[in-house]
Amino acid sequence: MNKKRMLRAFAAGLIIFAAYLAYLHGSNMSYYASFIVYICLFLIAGQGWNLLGGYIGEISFGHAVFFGIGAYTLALPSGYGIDIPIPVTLVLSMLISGLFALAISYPLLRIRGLNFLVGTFGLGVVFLNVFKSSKQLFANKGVFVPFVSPQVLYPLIVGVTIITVIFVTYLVNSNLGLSFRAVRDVPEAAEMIGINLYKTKTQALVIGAMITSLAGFLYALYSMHVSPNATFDPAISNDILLGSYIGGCGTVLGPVIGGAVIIIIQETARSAITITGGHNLVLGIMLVVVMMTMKEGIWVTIQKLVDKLGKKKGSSSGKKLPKEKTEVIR
Amino acid sequence: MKDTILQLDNLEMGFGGLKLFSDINISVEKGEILGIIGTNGSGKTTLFNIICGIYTPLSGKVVYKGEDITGIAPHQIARKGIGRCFQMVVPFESMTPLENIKVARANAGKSCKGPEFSIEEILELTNLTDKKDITTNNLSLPDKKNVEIARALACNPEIILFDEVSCGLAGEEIRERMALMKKLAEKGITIIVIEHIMVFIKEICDRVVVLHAGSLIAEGTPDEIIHNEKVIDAYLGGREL
Ligand SMILES: Nc1ncnc2c1ncn2[C@@H]1O[C@H](COP(=O)(O)OP(=O)(O)OP(=O)(O)O)[C@@H](O)[C@H]1O
Ligand SMILES: [Mg+2]
Repeated sequence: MNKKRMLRAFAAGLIIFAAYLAYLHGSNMSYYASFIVYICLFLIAGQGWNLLGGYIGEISFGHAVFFGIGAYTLALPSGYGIDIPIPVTLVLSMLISGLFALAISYPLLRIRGLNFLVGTFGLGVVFLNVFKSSKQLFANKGVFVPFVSPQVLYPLIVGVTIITVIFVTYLVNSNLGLSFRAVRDVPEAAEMIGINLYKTKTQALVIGAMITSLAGFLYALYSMHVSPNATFDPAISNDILLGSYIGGCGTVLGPVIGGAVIIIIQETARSAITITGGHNLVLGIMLVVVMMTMKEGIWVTIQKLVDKLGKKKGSSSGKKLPKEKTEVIR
Repeated sequence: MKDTILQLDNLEMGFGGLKLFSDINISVEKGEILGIIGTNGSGKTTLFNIICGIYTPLSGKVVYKGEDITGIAPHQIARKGIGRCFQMVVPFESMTPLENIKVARANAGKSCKGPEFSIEEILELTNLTDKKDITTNNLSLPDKKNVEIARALACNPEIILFDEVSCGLAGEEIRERMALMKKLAEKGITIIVIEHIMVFIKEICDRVVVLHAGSLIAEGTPDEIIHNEKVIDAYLGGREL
């Protein structure tokens, strides 16, 4: 009964929000609509990155690859004049991305830490260059993607974003999500309770790659044009990673907050600073500030502050240990 | 009648050309509590690491329930029913005790065939019922050790390896753990303990082996070991136990 009501409220909220976006789009404030869309896209991509990067602690610098695979799975058929229904390409992009992640997991997940980071970075560079130079893949000029009406597009983007967050929340609290965290906390002890480290990391990579490809897919639909520089660029990998870092790795709300902060800062700085690339400078400073003042990101810091306040209250009432869960969302 | 559950056969181990021990033969009976004592650095923890598959011995083999498990991946060994508590206390700190138990249950707990305790029983046995929802990194050291024991129990193991669980604990806490281990043994779980505290060994162990200077120098009941000339000489440098 309660669940049903919540679902209905949720659907209603979704429709209202999407309608609002469409309104912004239709009025002369489409700037704000695109603003929110980009936040949604980075938020989705960040959730995908966070499964392996935040929950298992294996930092990938190449998630643009999955973003790009998502975008190009939609764009390439249309570039060749093949008409595939959008729901089909959506499923296809997730499948291809997941399968590709599975294939690269074999060499990549057998190395760890810095080597893994460098390996994924290299992978991203390879993809960028292949797509830039290959005529069959439309090289630098990229591909146009068929128009989708805003009445469909906005609800789709908002809906996928919300479903992603709900799915990830569910996943990280499931037994599989607990296994991810076990591997991050103490790999040796995780093995001692029967966890296969390699397989568990592969699961995180594959599921994360599928989620990240969704962001690429939606990006292609939204921008109506796909090019290597807009999808496979390491700068995209960088932004995906930064979102989680600034917001808080290994938390569901981290990439949500981080994605929003990054896009907002980037866009306001872009219009405020006229020097080329000036907005990147602001982002860099932002990262340094976050890393220096709150190493674990904005969300985790907020959680800790709330915890502290809660504890103070608790002790004044004579309680020794906080009985309630100390983590809000993990 | 003897019912051997775990057998270490002629184990030899070393690191980087330096030999640590050789000729290690130990057979562990089902349901017993076996103590391993030895000086610092004699290789007790290394022995556990070999049993768990973290290290492969230079030669010799580990036989568990009749099966040679030498060189098998650690997670597979865990799934066969060998549980462990580490010397360095390493619970999953970002999780609550309950989650520590759940994740163990969902993994090795599914395939191991040892005596099964319900989650409530495990929390009760390890005194964690009141603290089950507090993130482990906020708990005290004794509680963290309890979380590790709970996690090992949640795997439904047939053997548990305890590496100095009483280290850093006070009298009452040590008593609690001795009682717990006896309880587990009564339930049919085979226990191997590495301990420095002699009272502990004397109270709970059925049998003790002594590792010293690269080999096993004695084996017997706690009483026999305490009065063994070799052990007094080598292990304690002549001091009375
Ligand atoms: N991975 C390794 N590489 C090199 N040397 C190692 C390794 N693991 C253990 N050793 C060495 O093997 C020796 C035995 O270590 P081990 O931890 O097994 O001793 P221990 O009997 O458990 O000692 P303690 O009572 O201090 O716990 C030590 O000298 C240690 O430095
Ligand atoms: Mg040791």
